[in-house]
Amino acid sequence: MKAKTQEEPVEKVTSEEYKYGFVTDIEADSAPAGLNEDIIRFISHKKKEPQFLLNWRLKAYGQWLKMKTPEWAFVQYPPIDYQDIVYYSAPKAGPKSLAEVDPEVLKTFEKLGVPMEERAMLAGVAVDAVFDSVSVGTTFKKKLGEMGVIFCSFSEAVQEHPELIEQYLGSVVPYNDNFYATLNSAVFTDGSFCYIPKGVRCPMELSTYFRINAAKTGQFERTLLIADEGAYVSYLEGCTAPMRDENQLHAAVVELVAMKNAEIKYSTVQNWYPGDKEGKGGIYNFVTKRGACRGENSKISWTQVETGSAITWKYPSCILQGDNSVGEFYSVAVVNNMQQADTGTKMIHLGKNTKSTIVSKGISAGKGQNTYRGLVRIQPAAENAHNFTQCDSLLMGDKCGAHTVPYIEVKNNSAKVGHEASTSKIGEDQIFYCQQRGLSKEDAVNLIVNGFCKEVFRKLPMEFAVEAQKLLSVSLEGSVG
Amino acid sequence: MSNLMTQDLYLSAFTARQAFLPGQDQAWLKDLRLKALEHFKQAGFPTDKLESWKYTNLANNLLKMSLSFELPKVTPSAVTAQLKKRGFEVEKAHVMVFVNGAYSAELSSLKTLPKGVVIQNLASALAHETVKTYLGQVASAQKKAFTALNMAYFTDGLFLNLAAGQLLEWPIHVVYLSANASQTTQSHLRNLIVLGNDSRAQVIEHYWGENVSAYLTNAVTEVVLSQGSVLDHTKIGQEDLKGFHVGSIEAKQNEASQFISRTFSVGGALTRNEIDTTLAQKKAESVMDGLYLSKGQQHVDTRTFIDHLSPNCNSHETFKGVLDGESTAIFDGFILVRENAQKTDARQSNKNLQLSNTAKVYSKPQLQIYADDVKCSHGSATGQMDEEALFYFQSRGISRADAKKALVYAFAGEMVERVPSEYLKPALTKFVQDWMGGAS
Amino acid sequence: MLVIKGLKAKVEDKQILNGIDLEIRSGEVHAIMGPNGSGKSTLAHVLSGRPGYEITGGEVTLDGKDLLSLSPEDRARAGVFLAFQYPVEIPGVNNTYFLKAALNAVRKSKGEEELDAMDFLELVKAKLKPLKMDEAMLQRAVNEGFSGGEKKKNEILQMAVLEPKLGILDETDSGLDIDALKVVADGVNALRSKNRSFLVVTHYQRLLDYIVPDQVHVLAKGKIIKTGGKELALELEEKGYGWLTGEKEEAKR
Repeated sequence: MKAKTQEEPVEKVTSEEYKYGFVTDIEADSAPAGLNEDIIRFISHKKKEPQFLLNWRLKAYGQWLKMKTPEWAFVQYPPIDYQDIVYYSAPKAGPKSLAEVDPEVLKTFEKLGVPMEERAMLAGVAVDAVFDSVSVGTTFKKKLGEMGVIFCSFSEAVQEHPELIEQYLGSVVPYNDNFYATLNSAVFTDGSFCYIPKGVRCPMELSTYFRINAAKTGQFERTLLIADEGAYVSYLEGCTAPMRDENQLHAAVVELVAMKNAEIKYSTVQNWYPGDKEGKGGIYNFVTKRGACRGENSKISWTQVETGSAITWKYPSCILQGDNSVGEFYSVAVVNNMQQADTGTKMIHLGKNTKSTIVSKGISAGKGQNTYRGLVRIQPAAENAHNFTQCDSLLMGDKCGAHTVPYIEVKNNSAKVGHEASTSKIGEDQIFYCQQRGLSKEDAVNLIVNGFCKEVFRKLPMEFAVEAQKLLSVSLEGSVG
Repeated sequence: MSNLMTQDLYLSAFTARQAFLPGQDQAWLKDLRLKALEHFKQAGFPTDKLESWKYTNLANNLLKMSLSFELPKVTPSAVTAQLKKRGFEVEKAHVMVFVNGAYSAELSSLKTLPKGVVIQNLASALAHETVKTYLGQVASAQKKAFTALNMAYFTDGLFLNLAAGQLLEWPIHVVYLSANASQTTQSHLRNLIVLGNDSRAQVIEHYWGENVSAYLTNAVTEVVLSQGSVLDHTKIGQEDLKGFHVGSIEAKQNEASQFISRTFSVGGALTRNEIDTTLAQKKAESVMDGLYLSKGQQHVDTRTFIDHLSPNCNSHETFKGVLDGESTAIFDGFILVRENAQKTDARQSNKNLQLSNTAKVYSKPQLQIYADDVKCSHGSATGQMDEEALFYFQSRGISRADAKKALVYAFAGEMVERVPSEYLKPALTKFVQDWMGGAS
Repeated sequence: MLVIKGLKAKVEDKQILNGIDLEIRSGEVHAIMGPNGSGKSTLAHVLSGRPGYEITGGEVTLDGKDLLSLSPEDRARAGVFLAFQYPVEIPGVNNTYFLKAALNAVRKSKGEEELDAMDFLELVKAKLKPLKMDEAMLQRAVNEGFSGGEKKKNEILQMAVLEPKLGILDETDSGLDIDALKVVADGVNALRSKNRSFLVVTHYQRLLDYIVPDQVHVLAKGKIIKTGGKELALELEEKGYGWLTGEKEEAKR
């Protein structure tokens, strides 16, 4: 009975009607549904790709045919018919500048609350927007270009910088890595590419807004981000999707490479359509994200706020090769209604004095199932490696689940590895304390949830932090001091 | 080698072996054994593809050996002396001894037992109604391949049954001795403990080997705890380095019962300890403590499963490990809190101390929670000895070697300090000290 | 101002309050004393609407308005402030933010304008000084990692900011050393006014040396068994509760 009164505000926090539910009407130049070598050749041909890339795709396809869907995650969904998916669709004319962008598309962005130019100018953010698998607009390119920063769509990079693509593509997530990444390697259509040259500190936060659109279009983005020696970049990835009834598959791959003394900050706010209360519809988000700290003193930091998708299957990871390299993972994952999330990270320590930090905050409401799954592996050569992991789960309502599955493998005794996890109900005494000071129950819950996530929000760039807190329906904290 | 102990051989051996197994006159048991064999046939030996066996691969060691079911009949004379040497005041315990899987009445000494207390070797108790009711009910052959194999092939073990309200004063100390001399053998031991309402007992399972060739001990202990009963259970593993030990303890706890399980493991080439408990009714409590010490090439694998099925239950789990040489330790602790188990308080901790640079630790503390009004936590920490602390000792004139011993004891000794039993404490202290090489 | 008539309450199946009658007029300070388990804290909790208690009889009005039908936040907005015996920690939530949110919620309910960040900061800084609180405390998470004394001071700070009609102090003296006790008592005394009343729940007389009550009530087994002036507290200090409850002396330790 106590739980009941608590559900109300919680529901409001986590289950507000999906705001971004509308479908843009744009003719798509699509391939027929289904997957075979011809489709892959079609995609590659459409995108005027060099031979090496086609070969790579075909190799991946051959491998994928031999692979099975992974079944170890705590997620359940009906089998996906891969022959019922359209693997290529693009707006007919590829606009070259923002002015040429279909006004319909721009309107869509406005509806999403992302007026590109304004936002770009005000916030100093360059936006490489991916709309239905094909890049439609890139801003601030010139300014970045002057510094030698390459920030463009993946297809553009294939045309302009094939040597970089050939060198780095698949070097962190190989074509045969896992079922979804392999599928992505075979059929990816577009994504973002970013190269920060030696010694350059990227002056603005790079941002990409992804949006799934045309019906039955699986999205297979490929992102490749390289920070050369001494470079720094902060990259923001945000996602919203229109409301729809059918499940949509999303199998992206993100590869990060940090060379000596380089640092990459990669932040994600993921708010795709989670499906309705009965679990109908919603995005299947099966993503492979991995970063390699190749050089000494390099650092890769993942921050994610996962509130959307029917199913989230994602483990942004760090391979700490370089001595003294640092890996970080900060995550907030919220599930409500029928949502399922199985997310976490892998920290693979190979180099000496490597350090990793994992902070995971899981919030489960409704009938949602939330799993933290993580691996910390200290290899024999990783002298003096350190890891600290903190996993906290907050439960709201008696039909949800919170699960913690850490794997800790230590093969060097100089390592120091610590893991702490706790799971508890949202504190009734905390709620009462707030109420006694005049706050409504709803505000009390918002406040407490926001406090619970603070360690992670703090790691987000400002505008993302705002969005993240909005997503949790929590008013911005700390406006005073 | 032509005679690898493949699954087929384990299956085909049954026909010949069947006639030598106890319970020939018990049709129900014959049936259970056959069914178990069928389960084993379905499951096969676990491989590292199974999540619960991810870090233990039997294919390269145990499954390459040819192990006979036929065990030599020997009567070592010095068991009591051995126990005393190990620090047990045996006069204050009921001692039961099994040698190579068979009960030895002459080595055992059961004190006079009050009415309502049954302490017997299982092979002689198969006609007992309680045995018939419970055997194979808690430790089901369907869940685990080794448990199935055990049901098919078990020869003997402890049967303990307390009537309601019986409080057993002295501990029952059960020794399972392997002494197979020049033969390579396997023994399958089965224990059944059934405690009536509000009864209390203390049981020690103690495994060791002497004068052995390679051997496998596959032990299964089933525990049924009725309302308000308390079982204090300690398993001491001092198998020979030629020995393989696979053991599974499974308990079912009814209302307000208490299951205290301790595992102290030091021996064996490969040791696999599984401890499962189901908190089936409200207000049940489980305490699981463990200490594993390993060196050389030893491999020690601990898997625990605590199933919170009912409201207001507590479980507290603490496992510690000290690893030297090239040894490997695995801790896989799984806590499941089901929908109905509101007001659960579950805590789990695993700490490992690595003394050498080549020792490996795999720790996998898992929580799966489906109820909301719960308090659950787990922690895992792995590291080496604190250099600062070592230096502090040295700066006060204590040698580095002695300092290390002191610190290892400080770490591992906590698990001994928590043992309330006067009978166990001196022996367990010695257990840790002997492992460290006679430090004081 | 506060009128309690025949108030009965139970927790789970245990009857704790067995008919409390009490009237506090504007500007008065009443102390509730009593042995452990007498129902003192329950009274404080029931008045503030803490969940887990079942009201089985009686009524409570604040300025003639029924209190028991209100949600905890509406009671707070109506002017009931409970200084907790064990102030709750809220990790990650900034103390200033919390207090501002609370004040603005109260102001909004009264139709007053919400304070902006700057005005609020000025206000709260002014209230900090008499409590000898460090400004750094404003930046910490609510009560998290606070010492016992800091927590209690933080409660009084909140009361000073929210300016309630009725301040209920639930064993505010517990866990305080004498210096902290004086600071806290001074803070409370500074808030005494003809428009504000206090209900001081305490086990010991010590606090009443500093916050001098107009009336003292002794609670036992869920009923007020004796009422008197401030001298009653001294008498209790000397004799313990036994002479009133007819039980063995248990109060003095």
